[in-house]
Amino acid sequence: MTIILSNVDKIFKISHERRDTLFSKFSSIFGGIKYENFYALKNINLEIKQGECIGIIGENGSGKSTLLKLISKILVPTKGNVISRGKIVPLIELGVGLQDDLTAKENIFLYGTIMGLKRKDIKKRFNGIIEFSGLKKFIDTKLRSFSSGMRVRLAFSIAIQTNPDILLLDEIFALGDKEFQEKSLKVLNKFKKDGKTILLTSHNLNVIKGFCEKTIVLHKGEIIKFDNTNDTIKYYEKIKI
Amino acid sequence: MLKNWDLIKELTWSDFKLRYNNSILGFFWSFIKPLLMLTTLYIVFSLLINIKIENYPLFLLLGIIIWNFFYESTTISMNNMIAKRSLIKNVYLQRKVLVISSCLNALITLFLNLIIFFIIALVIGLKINLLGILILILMIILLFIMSLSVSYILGAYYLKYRDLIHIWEVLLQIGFFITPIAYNTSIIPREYLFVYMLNPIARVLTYSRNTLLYQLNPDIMGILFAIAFSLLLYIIGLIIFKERSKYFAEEI
Repeated sequence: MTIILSNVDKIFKISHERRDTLFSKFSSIFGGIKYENFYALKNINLEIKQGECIGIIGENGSGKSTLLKLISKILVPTKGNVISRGKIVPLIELGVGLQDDLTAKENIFLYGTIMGLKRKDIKKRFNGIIEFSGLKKFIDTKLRSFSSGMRVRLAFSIAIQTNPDILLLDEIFALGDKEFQEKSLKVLNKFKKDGKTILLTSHNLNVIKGFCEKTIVLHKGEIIKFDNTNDTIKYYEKIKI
Repeated sequence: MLKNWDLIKELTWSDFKLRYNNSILGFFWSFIKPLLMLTTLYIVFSLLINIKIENYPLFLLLGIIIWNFFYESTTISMNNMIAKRSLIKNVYLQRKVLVISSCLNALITLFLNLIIFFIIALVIGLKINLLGILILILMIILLFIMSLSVSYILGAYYLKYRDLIHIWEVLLQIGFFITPIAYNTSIIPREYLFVYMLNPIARVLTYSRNTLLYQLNPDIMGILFAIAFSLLLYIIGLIIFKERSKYFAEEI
């Protein structure tokens, strides 16, 4: 098993007014402030084997991103255990950490190290990154003048160089133009063939169908179905949530 | 820390480059700022209040440089926790690299400032001895560890309590006056000196000045105390930060 979640709850405390200053903390001692417990995930039990490619679907706010963040250790569970083996690369918000006022080249080194690469590895793979992104002409341009599509292309090209054991993808196929999407899909298929474990959230059921053998349906923080993709999607379309 | 060294280097360097981005004088501000402060304080304390201290310009400049480092490293660290919040939220990285890189960023400024210090020292004709330099290096290391530790503690709570920065700015203002930056410890009554020297920055400053500017023998006991103090502070800071950092991603 590469990923095991047992009895995992994730509760976010939500206050209806933002109380994040000491002053409001003090006043809340006297005034009494009500936090609401929001179950982002509830009693999750999940086992994923190495090399599996799992789709995650569900309505907005159903806990898809929270699940990926727990697996990648960005968040800690309120209850239960999350165990994972191998190097995890979460692509949750692609391009986070890119700096507008640095050139594409400088950003490759910055973003690469953020994604866990060593400087010398980035140097080695530099040409590969540039080539894949198709941004050779803009290598010394500041990112400020990049379009959002170009940013995503750059970020994705760097991220796939990290050689992960487990890849977590959040809505990744909403990004870039068609040509780049096809290119990305090719890379992901190669990852799949190489036996990497991939978790993928998407609202695009066709992507899930084409890519994942098994699929999870999340609804209000709970797994309501985890089965092979065809059955799961049929079920999902039937209940129409 | 070694495992993340490449990341720390990249973050430090890119932040340093971006710090003076879009400014005409660029990183020359690192030189200009302490000199402007030196001029102001010199006019106030030497010409108006008439403090008599040997080598006063260098005395003052070293005080400003060291205080500046403490000031910058702690405030940059806090601001960096906010500036890098999207990283905290979406990428798994050791959160302490954000604090370490902020303090290293301030350290670059410290070195640039020290260049000015030594140029002025050469021009004035100060005799610089090796022991003075060694003590200064040791003191900078201790100063770095202490500032890093304080930054850990501040950074650990800043995401949750955003008014910490305002409280901290007031404390820094008080700190400026209870640290011997513009005056020396001889004006402190003897019986209160021990209490006064509980301020670790006061120790760092006094010891480095004594050997570097006045060729006095170093106070071994005092230096050992400072070493022990900074190590203890480091352990406390790291424990607090580690414990709190689990919740950073949901506090933003």
